[in-house]
Amino acid sequence: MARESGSIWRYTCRRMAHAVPLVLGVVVVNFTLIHLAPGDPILALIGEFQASPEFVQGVRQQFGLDRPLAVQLGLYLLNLLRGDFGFSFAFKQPVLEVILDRVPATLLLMGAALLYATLCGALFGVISSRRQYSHTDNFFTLVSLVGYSMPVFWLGQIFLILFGLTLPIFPAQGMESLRESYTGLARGLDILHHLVLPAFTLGLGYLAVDVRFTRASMIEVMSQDYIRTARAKGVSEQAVFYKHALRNALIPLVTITGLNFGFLLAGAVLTETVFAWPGLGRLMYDSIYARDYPVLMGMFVVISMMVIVVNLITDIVYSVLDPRIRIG
Amino acid sequence: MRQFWNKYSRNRPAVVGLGIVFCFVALGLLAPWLAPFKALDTGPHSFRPPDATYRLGTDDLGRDILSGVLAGTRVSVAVGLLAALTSTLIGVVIGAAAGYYGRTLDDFLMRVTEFFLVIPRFFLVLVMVALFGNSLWHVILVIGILSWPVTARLVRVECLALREKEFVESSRAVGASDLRIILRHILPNAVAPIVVSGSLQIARAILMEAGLSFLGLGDPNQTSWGVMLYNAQRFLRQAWWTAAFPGLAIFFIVMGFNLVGDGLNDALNPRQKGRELQ
Repeated sequence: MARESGSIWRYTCRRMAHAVPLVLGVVVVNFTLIHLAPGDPILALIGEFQASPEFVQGVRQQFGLDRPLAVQLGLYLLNLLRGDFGFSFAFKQPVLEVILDRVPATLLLMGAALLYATLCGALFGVISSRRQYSHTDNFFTLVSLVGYSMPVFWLGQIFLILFGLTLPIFPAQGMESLRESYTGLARGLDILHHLVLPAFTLGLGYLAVDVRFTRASMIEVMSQDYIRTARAKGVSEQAVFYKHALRNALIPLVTITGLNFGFLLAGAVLTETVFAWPGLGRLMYDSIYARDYPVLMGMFVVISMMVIVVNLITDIVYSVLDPRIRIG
Repeated sequence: MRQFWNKYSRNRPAVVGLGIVFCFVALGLLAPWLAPFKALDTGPHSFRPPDATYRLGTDDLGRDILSGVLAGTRVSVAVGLLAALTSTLIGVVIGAAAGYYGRTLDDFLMRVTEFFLVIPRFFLVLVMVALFGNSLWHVILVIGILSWPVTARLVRVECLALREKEFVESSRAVGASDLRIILRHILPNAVAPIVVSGSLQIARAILMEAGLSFLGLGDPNQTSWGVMLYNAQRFLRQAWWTAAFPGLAIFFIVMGFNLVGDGLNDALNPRQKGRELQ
């Protein structure tokens, strides 16, 4: 037992060491972009705003723009490590503060979408795999094909028109009712009410992938030798299905969910724009409009870090669920 | 070729997909003759619901939606094809170099590939287009430059498997150059996975351009479906048709290319399971 937990730690350390170059890579990419951008690097560091000459001079000094490139890269890295991502003129706030303010709303939206998409996706996938080529299976296949090809922001617009405006069951915009000042449970319910449409929109593409994936994985597992062995031993069909097959078939779903985190974030950004959800997406939209480059670049760094961390966690969770992976 | 078509045509969804793709390509080519108005021309009637003159209605500036959708077809098809072509070319070069030469070069290139697979591509594309300008050519180039890793991996695997084969060995023995071996003997055998991933990348590139445009990074001088949806967002309350039709077009073209990709996969790589399990 002790040995086993030790190997989990060793695996974790190995994966973490693997993530360091990725993080550095993101910083280098960002640094390169600042210098390749047309005009003065100062444009990418401040954005298209009228900054005072003293401020511009300060930024030049802070990023060492008159010094050799290697020194500049070092200074840039140092600034980021200190949490200094620059200053946003549009928000009159440090960039990192602006971004971190918006992260919880986005995570809430993504969490809700992921939860329902994974649960329903696994359920529908299992049903599909049990009744291959039946009407139910064909129906889910069609739904997942549609879900897979649908641009998430257009789906959001259609839901908004149908269930937010024409048939106003759900609020069309925002995360809370601004006219009321709910507290406690009432506030939670109000947020939940606002959450339904955006979360449903964002999750649908995932549901599609999860249905296909679970179906394929389930069919594959059911054809394996150990399932035949279990059947031969006289284990009931129910027990074979739920105890032996399902568990193993669902493990890959962890990977698929983790590896698609970046796509989910991209979808979240687009969905937020449709529903005026006050998260990273809305911030991105506003920053593009205001040409607030420091915020855009800061967001790329923060989002990349999130993706790298989630990939790391996915790897570790997977290795706990399926210890064979640690040997590889 | 005939054998391939026999296999492909037995897959009904794949044939439907091909039909959809052909329709869009035809509409795109014939757009200037089919469109009743010029896509960017404003008219006197804003927010007209679909009627006999404006088949799909008009937007806030009185522009005809049908003409816009037709013009957008050209943009989407161009973005999809050119971006996928760019990324496939880069992917083939990197994958072939890594797989054929192996060792240090392989290690290095695969590290880079892995990096570009992990980082959130959509956001990097977004930052680059925001910084370097949002003309259509920039958008195509940036999407193409950042979408090669999947192709590179596929090509590398094929090269690794093929470079030890006897026919490669024998052409090396008669003095063929590396470039000749790669171009004449290895790549032709790797065409199937390249074509499959290329067709799926067309769908992804189209979706990505639409997403960028929807966030306000579309080329303002082109009528693209994403730009139309960006404009429609402010007027969803008044005019559902400004959003409904351009979005429907994106949906169908993406589904068309996805179906073709899946169909090609089934017809060309019969041993491989669906792409879900890759």
